[in-house]
Amino acid sequence: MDTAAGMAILALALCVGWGIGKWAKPGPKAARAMGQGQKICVWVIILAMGIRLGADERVFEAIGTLGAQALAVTIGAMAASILLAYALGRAMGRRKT
Amino acid sequence: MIAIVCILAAGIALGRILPEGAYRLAGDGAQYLLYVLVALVGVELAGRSDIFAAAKARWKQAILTPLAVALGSVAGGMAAGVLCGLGAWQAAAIAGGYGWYSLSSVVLAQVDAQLGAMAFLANVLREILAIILMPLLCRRLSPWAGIAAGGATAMDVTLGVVSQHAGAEYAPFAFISGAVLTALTPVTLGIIMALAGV
Repeated sequence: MDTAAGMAILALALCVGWGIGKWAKPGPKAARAMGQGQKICVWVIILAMGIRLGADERVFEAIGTLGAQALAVTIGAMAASILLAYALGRAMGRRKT
Repeated sequence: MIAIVCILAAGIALGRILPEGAYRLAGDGAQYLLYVLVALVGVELAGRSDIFAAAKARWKQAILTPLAVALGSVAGGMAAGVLCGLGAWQAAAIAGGYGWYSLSSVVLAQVDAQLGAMAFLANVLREILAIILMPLLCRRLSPWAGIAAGGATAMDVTLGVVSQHAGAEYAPFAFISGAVLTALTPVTLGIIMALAGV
């Protein structure tokens, strides 16, 4: 599936869910059940991601030779993006007050 | 956080022992479950009329955050990569995947197979670390930090995790940020490779 189609399906799923929510107007009990449903979905998705990673030989072959450099790039990229987004949030929050 | 690490470790262990058909089934099942998860987030959003008013009030932040994440990812990844002995453009290109490992690894493998493998590994690690660190980032730092950590995956895999730990009111921002970064990934890789002359 290409990127545009993938993005469109996810946006559609969000809209369908929103439409169902507006139509059905779930009460607090149903909302709690949906919260649990979300948690279970996340856990199953993480489990499936683990299964895919565990079965992918490329990951295991690359970890030994390229793992440290890949981890360094990941940590650098994540840390700088987190800091910038956090600083932006603080600056925009301050401007409003 | 401990539960997430345990589930991921159990999945990796299962992946090592399950036959090929089973992990393909897991992948396809996860894709459909992702649509269910995003739809459930949508249902939750519909019940919160205050969310759209909040999103309208913060539209500038919604647009600027993914741009800050893009800039931070490339700059931070490049700096860390250079310190570890990688070339500047190689490190920038790996970080420019923003967590979208399937695209970045394929694009960079066309230039160099080893670079493709490293892009795959680095961007898979970003997704894993974002899921593991999300509770900590959202509670201790800011929900925006959690959204930033997810990169391009904030519109799919980490969307549910953001909604769980930051609150449903941050789900629209996570979706927008992930969508913008997903659209920016091929552009970023193209620019970096053009600047590097490859």
